[in-house]
Amino acid sequence: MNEPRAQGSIPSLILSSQILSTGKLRVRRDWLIFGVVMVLGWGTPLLAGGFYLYLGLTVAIYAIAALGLQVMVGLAGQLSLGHAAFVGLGAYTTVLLEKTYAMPFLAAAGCGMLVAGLMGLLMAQLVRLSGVYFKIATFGFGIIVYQIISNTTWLTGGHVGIRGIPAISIFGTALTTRKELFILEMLALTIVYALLLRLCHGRVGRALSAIGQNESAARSVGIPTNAYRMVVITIGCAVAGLAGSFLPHLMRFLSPESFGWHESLVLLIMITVGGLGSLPGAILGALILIVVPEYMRELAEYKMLVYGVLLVLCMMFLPTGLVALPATVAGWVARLRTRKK
Amino acid sequence: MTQGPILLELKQVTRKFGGLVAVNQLDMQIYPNTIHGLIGPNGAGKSTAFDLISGLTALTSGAVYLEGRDMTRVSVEDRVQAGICRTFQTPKLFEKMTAHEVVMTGRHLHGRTGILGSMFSIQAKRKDEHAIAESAFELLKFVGLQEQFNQVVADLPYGKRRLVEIARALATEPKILLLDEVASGLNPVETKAVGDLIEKLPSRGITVVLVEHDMRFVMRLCGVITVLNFGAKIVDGTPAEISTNQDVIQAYLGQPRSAEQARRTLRKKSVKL
Repeated sequence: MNEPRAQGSIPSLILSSQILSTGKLRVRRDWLIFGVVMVLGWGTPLLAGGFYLYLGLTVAIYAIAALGLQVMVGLAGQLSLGHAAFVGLGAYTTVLLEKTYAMPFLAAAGCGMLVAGLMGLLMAQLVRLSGVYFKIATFGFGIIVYQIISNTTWLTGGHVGIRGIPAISIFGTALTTRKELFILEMLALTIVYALLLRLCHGRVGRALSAIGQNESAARSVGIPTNAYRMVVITIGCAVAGLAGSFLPHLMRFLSPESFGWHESLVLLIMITVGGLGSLPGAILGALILIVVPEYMRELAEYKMLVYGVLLVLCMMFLPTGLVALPATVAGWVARLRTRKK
Repeated sequence: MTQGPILLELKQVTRKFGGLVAVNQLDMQIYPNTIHGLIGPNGAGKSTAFDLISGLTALTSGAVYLEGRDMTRVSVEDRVQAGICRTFQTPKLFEKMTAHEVVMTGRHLHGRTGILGSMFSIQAKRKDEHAIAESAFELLKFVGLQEQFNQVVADLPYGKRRLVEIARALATEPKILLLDEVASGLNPVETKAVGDLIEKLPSRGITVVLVEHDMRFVMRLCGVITVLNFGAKIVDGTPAEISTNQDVIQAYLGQPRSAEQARRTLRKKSVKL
């Protein structure tokens, strides 16, 4: 960045207005990216239709979950190794309420978010465990939730799963086409992305980012770190629950297999490959990790291998994720040029 | 020495780590708007004393009072709210943020936008952010970093990182600022600049406590110095009193064979006698 160097004794006035504009500039850039992502995200599947619409349906769900995880892990540094369990809590709560009580989708999804959020808050009580112990505890929490879902057969059908998922009904109308479902999912994604972006930009976002980068320094300036950690874990889990409420309606089937540790890992790879700490990165990561395997169905058994290779390559060459690709490439070019000289 | 009410008081403060007594029955009184030095050989318990005052470590026994209020069981964030803020031996910053953003985190307790406000409020949030940004920038100017405000702190040289950390601590509006080895790793020019900066603080109503190895730096700035050895206080007094105190000389140099030898060694360490 080439800021004009302030010379002389009264540069303060010029700089004072500049500084506010650079802060605003960053915010404006983030909203510009938001706009681009949303235009592509809404437009491509709706215009191209068919298979792209199907892909869009899946990507949107995982993008929502990845956004929540990004704020929790990428921004605030609260690693969760069992995040898929909260997606599962949202999915089961929504479907069970719809099936047993014929609850309309919005209310049921709200309850799904609530249950996932409350369970997240329960897990967040473990933040007093230091460092690696908390991470291991989140893994344990994920396994416990998975086991409960697969073993309460009277409620969830266990490993057999639940079939005959009712169509989403909103204000009395049933959404029967894929296009309608996609529009609903994208509405949810847009709202979640916008709200989380706003959260990232203010005083709270700065505090979360501070906790993620150096927790004891954050404490030393009076940020109540434990309270914020609990809040961000709850938010991340509630958003996962919201993503979960859509999943059974897309697959028309619900079984615990979609919410094991393997799925948790995929969510983590999504935000890492996309770019830790970046909200558009979470969406990009979800896109790549859903779309790439779809185009190599014959190699399905090597799916995890591909994920692994993708992750390792990313860590080696793009530690800041795919969103930083332009900046990283620019860095390479600059280095090559100086080497030539 | 100094008069008036005591700002910060340590009473019989003790901290044990297993069998090791890091700080042993330490009594200390710090008066408002002074610069107070805390010195001692390596492992004397200076940094532990800072951890105890700032609340990062719990006391084994004893008590800490700020303006007569018992802070012994108070959390770190409430101590910051009450006016105790510290820096670290090596600057602990938020590496991905710009200098300006780092200082803005120091304004956390002075901002109002909550979690819901961050997401849903427009006008109030903008006003709050504006106020935080302005006051953080004022502090960057105060420490002389206005030109670097937009640089990511990971890219700043060590001396500038120190200044960012000081500005961040000042942003909390402390009554008492604990600076942990603020001059270490700085070149003479930077050390002088930081010294000049610290000298300005008491007139702004900020009391400073310095943990420091650079004796010349301490002697220049501090009105009162407390000397620790093996976790216990040896003595406190003015720089002149400290530099002639036999116990202090002994603590730093061991048993001297002659006073002349001790004086020579001290001169080498650039302590003026």
